[in-house]
Amino acid sequence: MAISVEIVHSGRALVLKVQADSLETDNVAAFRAAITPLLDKSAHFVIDLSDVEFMDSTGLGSMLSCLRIVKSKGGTLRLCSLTSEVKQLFEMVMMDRVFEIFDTPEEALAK
Amino acid sequence: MLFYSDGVTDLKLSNGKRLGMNGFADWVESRAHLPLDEFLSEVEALRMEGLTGLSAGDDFTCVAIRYRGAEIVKDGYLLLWADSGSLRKVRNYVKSSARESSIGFTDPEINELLLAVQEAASNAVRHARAGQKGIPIKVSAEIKNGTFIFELRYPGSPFDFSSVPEPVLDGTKEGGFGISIIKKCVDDVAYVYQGDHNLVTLKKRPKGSGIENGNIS
Repeated sequence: MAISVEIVHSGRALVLKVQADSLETDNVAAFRAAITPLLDKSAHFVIDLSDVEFMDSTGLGSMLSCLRIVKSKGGTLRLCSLTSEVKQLFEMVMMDRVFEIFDTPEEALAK
Repeated sequence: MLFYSDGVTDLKLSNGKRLGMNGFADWVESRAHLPLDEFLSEVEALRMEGLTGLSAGDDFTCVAIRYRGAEIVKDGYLLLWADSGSLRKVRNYVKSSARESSIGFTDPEINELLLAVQEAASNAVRHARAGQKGIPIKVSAEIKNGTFIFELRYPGSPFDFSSVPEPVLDGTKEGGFGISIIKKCVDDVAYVYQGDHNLVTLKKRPKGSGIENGNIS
């Protein structure tokens, strides 16, 4: 299943939109390959997950990997527009306490 | 699919008997789940067994072809090859089974079921044979006494879910969540190793069903 990451807004922070209906074991390597070069383009990021209807533990791990990379450079990474299914996963493993999560990209950028 | 010359079926085994077509079919059936390179190593071992004390005069050719694109759906189970896209097929199978049942799961409960199934099947794909593709996975879903029962059966090294430690939830570790997610999403998780197969059974009941929750065995 194809996956790509598109820059949908450039400013003080880059908004990166994940273009796939799932982020999971079968496409997580492609996701990492797509997003890693983009993490060099700014210090501050918002990842828009509005298209992602399903995420498993490997997808979650890739989000944590992005957070670690960005934080190691002194930057910030926020998530926005999580579907109810993905939000349920984050709350289940308490990752809603680890990530800053917003309802919309605008809210994530405004803070 | 196997193509083979009659040197295979003409093999005389250590018990002195000719292998024959039926004997070869039985022999293949018990090894059909193996990755093809392992399967062909077994064929080679069979040839060596058959050559004991005999000349190597007969031709011996065996070509094995495996088509991994198809899955088999029958009443009560789905059989497919662990490969790219197989996890989505398993999720779709479970989602349809849960939705078509009259068990009364809410959407969040179905999502929990899918998460548990995904993590269990993902483990099968990644750990069964150290990531080797072409692993057959058999899954079944049934409703019994108000409980959704999912079974996952796959060959490979034993992987005991109950021995995995609890994950670190402070964001410092990127992995180790899978088993914890399974435990949180279903009411019962059971694991056994039968022969050279892992068998994982997940059970989930709708909240408010009045049935006591169990645990891991």
